[in-house]
Amino acid sequence: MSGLMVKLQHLVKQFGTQTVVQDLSLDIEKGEFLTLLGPSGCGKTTTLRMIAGFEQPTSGEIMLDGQYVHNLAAYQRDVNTVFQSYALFPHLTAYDNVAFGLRVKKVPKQEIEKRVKDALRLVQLEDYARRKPDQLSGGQRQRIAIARALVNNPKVLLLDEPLGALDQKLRKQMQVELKHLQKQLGITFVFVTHDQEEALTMSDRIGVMNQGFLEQVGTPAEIYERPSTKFVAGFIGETNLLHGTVRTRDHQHLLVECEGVQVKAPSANVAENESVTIAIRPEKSVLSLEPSHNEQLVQLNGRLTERIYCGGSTRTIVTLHSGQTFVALEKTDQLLPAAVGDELFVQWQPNHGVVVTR
Amino acid sequence: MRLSLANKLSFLYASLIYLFLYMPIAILILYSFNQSKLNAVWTGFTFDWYLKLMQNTEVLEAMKTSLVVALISTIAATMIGTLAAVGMYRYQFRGKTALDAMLYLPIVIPEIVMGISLLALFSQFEIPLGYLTLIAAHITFSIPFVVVVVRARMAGFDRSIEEAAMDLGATPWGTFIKVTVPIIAPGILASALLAFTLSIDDVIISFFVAGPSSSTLPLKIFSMVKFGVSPEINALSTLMLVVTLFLVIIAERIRMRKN
Amino acid sequence: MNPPVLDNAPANQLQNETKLKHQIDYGKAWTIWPVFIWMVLLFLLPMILVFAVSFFSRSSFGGIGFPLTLENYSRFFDPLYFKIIWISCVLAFYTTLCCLVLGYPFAYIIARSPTQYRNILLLLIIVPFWTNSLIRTYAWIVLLRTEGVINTFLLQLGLIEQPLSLLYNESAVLIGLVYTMLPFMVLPLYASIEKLERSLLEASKDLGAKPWQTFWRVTLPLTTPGILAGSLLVFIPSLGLFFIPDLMGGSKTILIGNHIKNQFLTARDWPFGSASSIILMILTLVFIAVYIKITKDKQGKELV
Repeated sequence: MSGLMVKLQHLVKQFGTQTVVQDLSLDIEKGEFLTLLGPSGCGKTTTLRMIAGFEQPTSGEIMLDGQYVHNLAAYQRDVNTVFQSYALFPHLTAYDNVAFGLRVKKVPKQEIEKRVKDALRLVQLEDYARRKPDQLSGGQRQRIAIARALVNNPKVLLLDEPLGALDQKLRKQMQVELKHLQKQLGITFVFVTHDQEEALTMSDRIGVMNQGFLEQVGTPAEIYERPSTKFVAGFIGETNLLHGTVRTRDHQHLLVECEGVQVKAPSANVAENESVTIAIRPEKSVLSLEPSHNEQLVQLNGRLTERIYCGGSTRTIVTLHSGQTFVALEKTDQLLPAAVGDELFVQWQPNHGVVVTR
Repeated sequence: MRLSLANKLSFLYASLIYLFLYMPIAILILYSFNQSKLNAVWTGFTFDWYLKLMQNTEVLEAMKTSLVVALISTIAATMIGTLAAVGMYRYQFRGKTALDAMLYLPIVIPEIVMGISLLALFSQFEIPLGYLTLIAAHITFSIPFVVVVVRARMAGFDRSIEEAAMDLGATPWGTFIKVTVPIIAPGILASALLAFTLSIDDVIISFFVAGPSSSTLPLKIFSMVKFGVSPEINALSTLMLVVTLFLVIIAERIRMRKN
Repeated sequence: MNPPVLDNAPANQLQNETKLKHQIDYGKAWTIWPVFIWMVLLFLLPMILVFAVSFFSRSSFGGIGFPLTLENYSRFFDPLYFKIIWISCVLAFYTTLCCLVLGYPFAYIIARSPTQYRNILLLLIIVPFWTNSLIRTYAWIVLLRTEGVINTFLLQLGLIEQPLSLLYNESAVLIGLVYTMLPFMVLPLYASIEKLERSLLEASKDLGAKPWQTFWRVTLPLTTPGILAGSLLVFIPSLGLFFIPDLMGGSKTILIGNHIKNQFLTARDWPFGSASSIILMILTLVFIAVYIKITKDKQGKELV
């Protein structure tokens, strides 16, 4: 059942003189779980609100299941939203909240009853139907908000940081449940969050946004392993960024001069003498007391400055000779026998580095 | 619990102020049950003045006028004011500052200015003073208060609740009736009670826009007081106080329930 | 990779139609227009009318006529009329002062009273706030007049031989005004005192300030917004409450409110009455402007 569900074409949104979404184009497949990820103020929520119909794009087009919808009002669009604040109607019971959408669409009474009950069962809250929102816990309100949206069988479910208000434990649990629900129902989800871990664990694809631009779209693995911009590399997970200049290039590798040495990096579409940044994940690097004689390894030399215990792993911070810090990840039970102040070497495979230019 | 000297003084002071606030009213009520027409000396308990009041056709007529004017102006002012508060909460538009000023000024300028300006308007357009002018004037001075009260209620209103309704397929009008109004209902009710009380109590503006045959209750009291003190006025005042007290208590309960 | 069928003409047509439908937002029209039209017709227009009338002359039969003149305003330089404004302001000032002096400790006591009593104490101030001010004025007449409750009481006790003339003088008017306006002073004072954090007072004590120093240097400056708001709420209505001087001052005390009323209803000099109203209104707006300026300046300073 693949096919195009949402197509955003050159979306621009301006508030006054401020441009919050800049020329954004994105295709979302049917049944996909797509996450818009970015820091606050990056335009992800505005993008979501334009799909929902709460904001009109300044220019650009939105297509939903083959129809242009960007000039339709929110209530005329076949999408539903789970709000950050849940936005449950305080004067209605859980049941009436869930039934609201069906009632305004004049669905026959018996069908409403059946569908609302099904929706409440789906979120395991059949027993709470008569409660008002202020008699429900945060997690229960969250589920009612999801049921209220899903009961309408929307083509797309939009979720605006729906887990933001929950505590850590409940949040993990809801992440699993939401993902499960989405697989089970096969509805297209567009999920907005600033939490990269949430994005990585739940999504089929992630769109990373920054300052109104869509920086990169890809599967969680692609985003994590092959970030295409400096921002993506830095925003998703922890990364060491080394700045340098391309010296020579062949069909397989680049030689980049940085930290005073020639560093080998995987080939990329760059010219000689161009400034680039090499990104290396902490867990991809190895620490050693002795220099390696393996010509294939990249090797930088520095001093151990700090070790931070993180349970199973330990973050070891090395200050390179240039003064830049480099973070490596060690297994706590296999720590290198070194103390603060000791000289050591940071090593990695050239193709574990990622070259980014922007 | 032993009270310190400061606490005792505080208690004494507060009691004196409350005495200052309530004693005149209490004596007024007390003397409405006094037999003596001269009413300074207590001569015995009676309900006569209330009975006399019920036979006074002019007073009954004024009561009727007051109630009709208050009811109609309350309904109209509450409707116009509530819509205005919702619109001003929801939309940005040109002239919003001007409208804000037009709703703020009537509250702060002395009532007498509004009274004479309405009188000037009605006489300029040769609209005879009577029910119509009274109602129009009362709607005018009530609207700003309704807007203030309803807007205060809307200030804590989560905008995404309206969006949620639209998202679920409700039209803007449907959203207003099914979601916005029920949520701000306590504010609307409180503002209606305020408008009603303002209308029932108003002296100054009514003084200028009431016709000779459309005297409201406070105006009737005013003209009676000019002829001097009488136990009948005491009785009438007591009745009005009771009605006001009743309305205040209801309004306060609504306000408390909100918190 | 979009299916080309999506970009066909019907889709574009739909787009244009819905665009038209969306651009008319009835909500705005329905909510804003009624109040706008009403307030323009019954507030703005009458005000403009009064302003206009104030430049005309009084015709015979109490109507308005030509020539256009500034005389209605210049008449206020006549000591007779200037005195009315002067006395009105002085009396309103004394009313405000009395309310402040009486009301501040009172508001303070309530704001610092145990929470379980606070609501009921507050309600006891709000009730007179809602009750008819005419009736409350009348209640004082019952007390103060020659055959009134106080005189009868004192005579019976034998403390006085002749009834005192308590009514129909400026003190009586002042009592009536203070009594009517006191709740308007207490409520904003209460609001600002209640907001005052106890920890600030404790900090002041902790730093060695004596109680009166704490009051003078911490409490009073932090509650000025309440003092200003209360003063405004008392001062402005005091200028216009014509029935209190009418009923309690006899005809001896003529304030600007009574003056305006008389020009319209007794003297039938509408242009002069209008000019007086405009002056009262300007006076009011000046006080409001000063109030806004002071409160804004304070906020500005706090930000720096």
